Amino acid sequence: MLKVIGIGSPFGDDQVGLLLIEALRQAEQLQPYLKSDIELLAVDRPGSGLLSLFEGASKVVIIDAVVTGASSGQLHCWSDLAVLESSGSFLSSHGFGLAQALALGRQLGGLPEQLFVFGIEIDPGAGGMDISPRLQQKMPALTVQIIALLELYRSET
Amino acid sequence: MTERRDISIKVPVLARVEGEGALDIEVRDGKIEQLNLRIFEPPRLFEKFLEGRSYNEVADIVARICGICPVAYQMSAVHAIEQVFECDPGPWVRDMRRLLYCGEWLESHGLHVHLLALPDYFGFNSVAEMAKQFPDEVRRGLALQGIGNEIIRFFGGRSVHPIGVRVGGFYKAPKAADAAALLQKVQQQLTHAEALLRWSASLDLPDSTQDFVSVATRHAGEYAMNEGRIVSDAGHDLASENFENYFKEHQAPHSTALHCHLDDRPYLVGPLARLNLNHDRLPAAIKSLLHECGIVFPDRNMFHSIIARSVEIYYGLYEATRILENYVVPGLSYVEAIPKAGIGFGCTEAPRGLLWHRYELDAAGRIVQATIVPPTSQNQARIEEDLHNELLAFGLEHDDAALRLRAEMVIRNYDPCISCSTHFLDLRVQRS
Repeated sequence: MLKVIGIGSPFGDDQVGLLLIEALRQAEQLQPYLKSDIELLAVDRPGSGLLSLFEGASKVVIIDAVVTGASSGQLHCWSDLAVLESSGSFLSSHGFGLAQALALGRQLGGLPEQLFVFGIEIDPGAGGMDISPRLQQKMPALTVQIIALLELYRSET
Repeated sequence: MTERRDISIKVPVLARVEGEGALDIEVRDGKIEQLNLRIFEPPRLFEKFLEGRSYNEVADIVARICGICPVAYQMSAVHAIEQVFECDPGPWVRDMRRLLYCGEWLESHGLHVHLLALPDYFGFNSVAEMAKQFPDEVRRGLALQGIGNEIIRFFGGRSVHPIGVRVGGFYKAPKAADAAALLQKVQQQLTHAEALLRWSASLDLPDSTQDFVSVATRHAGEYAMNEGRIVSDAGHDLASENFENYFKEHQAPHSTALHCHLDDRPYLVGPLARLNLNHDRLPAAIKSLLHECGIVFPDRNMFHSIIARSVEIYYGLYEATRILENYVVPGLSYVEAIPKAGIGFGCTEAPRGLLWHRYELDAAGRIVQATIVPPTSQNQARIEEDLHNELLAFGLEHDDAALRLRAEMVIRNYDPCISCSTHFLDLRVQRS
């Protein structure tokens, strides 16, 4: 079973992880696999709660919004988690994000055997309740790219 | 003579816009010339978004404001709307709302104490680093946070945010068997919570006793969560509808957030303020445990906020146990509310403090106007005041790294809701 976890918040481009899970749920190509081979999950800012979602899963894909300076809508794929080092300080319980959760999981031995992170480059200035038109335009292509990757990971043992 | 130097410290607590500083401190000639904390506040965005929406959509919408405390936003909202509709959901709903709030306090405090505050006091840069030396303590934190999440999930809802809450009660009543299973899990965590309480009381925390006003809700017979009058240790005792007559919000020139003052001065909301005002409402067993640990309230040391959170973690489990032990499945899990026009107020205790809502509704129950005053906006002026006092007391002669760490520790005591609008990974790729 491949577990796919989309992370996001309901604001601006930050919701891209949640929207992509919804798009995957509707995707025809994935329908045969959604009952037995692929589990889709959308979670709003889980923080360290992400670690409990890994329990019992050996193969996990995380889809999350990232800011690296690349152009909006670019898909990054990481399997080497050491690259995910956050330099941000976090003062509130809201700031405990993906990088911190993965670092903690690694330390406590709580990460799945295979873990991939799909980072979607977003425009951090895109606030409000809606995704930016620029990223919205890229959503169909992103969905296709991600479906292809999921089909590949699903078939790999 | 101590060398006097000019210092400029910028703490990028808000990563929403790259490079934007959220705390700027300028020191010239040994004096703090400028100290500005900037916090982005998503609730303001939601006030407009709510206008025109039906009353039965509100609980679902406000749950999105905050990923850590969706329950708090739901609780203040449904109480305000029920006040307009003159709807009393009865004792079962009242108890279940307390249980749900216990879940949120456990989840939020469990995370903050173990994963954010404790690494500071042990000198670690992060909880991942701390987990090498204290794996059991970190696991304990995750377990306490986890039981909070389980309590929230008990009321149904989905993983993105809880949707079980509605005006008048809950969409569905949990099964008795699920309540029994949850009770067992809650009871198992009590030992963890007691160990945490004893441990936090034994920590060598900085001494920073300050003069400040505490504000919280207070209930006649219980430790306040959902109901009560707004009280302060400066003598205030107000109904929630009088909030705006005493608490004044104003735009600070350096921040998009509004600063809130009580009688023209900053004040504190949150776990320490709650215990300062309501410690006498704790059950006898907890009072006796506090006495045994040498924990005394009122307490004016903000660094003791970690102890206050540990006390509320223990109380959350204790109260959840009491409610679950008496759990019965009701005939109906809600009462049907009949819409009418009017203005209603809701004031409940979010994990990080008093959360005040005001809604004006039309005859069909649509929102005409919404005002949401979150705890962090109320604490913001107090945080700036605290930083000013604490950094002077700490000594401006310390190097920038030490000053910055101290400033972060001070801000962290308030567990501010800094980035609930956004969570994305701000990534810096390190290449060798």
